[in-house]
Amino acid sequence: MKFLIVDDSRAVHAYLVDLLGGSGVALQHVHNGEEAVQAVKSPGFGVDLVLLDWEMPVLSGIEALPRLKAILGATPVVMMTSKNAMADIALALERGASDYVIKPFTKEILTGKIGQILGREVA
Amino acid sequence: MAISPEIIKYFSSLIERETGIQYGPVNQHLLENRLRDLAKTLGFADVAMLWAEVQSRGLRGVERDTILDLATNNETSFFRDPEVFEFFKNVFVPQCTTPGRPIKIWCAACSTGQEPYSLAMTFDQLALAGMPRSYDLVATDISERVLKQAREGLYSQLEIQRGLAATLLLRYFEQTAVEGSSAPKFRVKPELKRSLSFQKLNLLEPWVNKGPFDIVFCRNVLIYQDVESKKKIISRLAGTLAPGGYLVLGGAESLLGLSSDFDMQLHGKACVYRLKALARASA
Repeated sequence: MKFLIVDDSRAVHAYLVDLLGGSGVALQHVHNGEEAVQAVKSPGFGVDLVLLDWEMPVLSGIEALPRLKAILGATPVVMMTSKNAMADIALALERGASDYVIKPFTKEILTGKIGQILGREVA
Repeated sequence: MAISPEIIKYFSSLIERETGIQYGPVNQHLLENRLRDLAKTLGFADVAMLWAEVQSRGLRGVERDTILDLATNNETSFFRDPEVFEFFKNVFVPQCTTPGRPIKIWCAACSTGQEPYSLAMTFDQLALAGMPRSYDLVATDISERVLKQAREGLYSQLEIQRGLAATLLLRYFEQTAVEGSSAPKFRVKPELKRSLSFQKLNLLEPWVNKGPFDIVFCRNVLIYQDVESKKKIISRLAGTLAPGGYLVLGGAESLLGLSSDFDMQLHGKACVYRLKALARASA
């Protein structure tokens, strides 16, 4: 399995490596929405799930989301952000996010949501 | 690296004051592990760094909520053990015929309410899918503290995310600001409470039988009891069930060697117990 992590924070990347590194999931990191769009457009690119931050330089996650979904189709994209207003959550779902994780989150929250979406446990 | 006694004392006092959960010499290692998780979750290099920050500017709302959530880690979540809810939605409710009365459900250890609200959401989802059923859900717990939260249906940002998909959060909860805190809380909408009642009840003390129930959830209670108490609880739960009623235990619990009143059934990954036809008369 492979996840694409889209976040401009090195600390978040390190945290997710720590959380998911032992689960056998390959993690690819990019740092903004534009890099994510370019990554998924590249020939032969495959991914099982995208974790997408909202606020990032160049292209934000919420702007990149419809473009990513247009390319990825049914592949789930989970928003992962400190924005916690119901209107933000509604907007992300409207634009195609499968689920929404509010920072800070614990390992159980993240792996639980990913497990529900993929229908299999991610330790 | 060991965490200093001063730090342990600060956090254990906070957790006991807020949740009633006690950390002493026997389980202190659990608290130490959870504090390390907490520091990591909040982006600190280690617990000492977190402590230094808390000392300099106090505890922020989201940190406080995170501490309390980690202290009660795995105690409860929405849709805990999703296979149980699959059984409930796809097998139990369609099969349950209760002419002239609503389906009767008892959550016998409801804690802060996630289990009964998950069941209420399941009923609503069924109604949206064209299969409305009336129900009457009694939720009980031994602790007045957790019942208070369950009645309010008020959850922190961390609690609300455990097991609850964002689509359900949007549909069944509303956000509410908390005075003096930057972290909002999330409150169950009143319509989800319509068929629920919360009451204090100690399973080991005499209680008034509010049955017959079509299904009783008693999850993660027996693991904390000795064998005699387990037998007593199970026998009395059997006495509250309607003929052919179901008992649902926690994932790590079983009736093996404790009761012969039930048939074990596997539905997908869910293991449930069904009251035998003649068992109720003797229970």
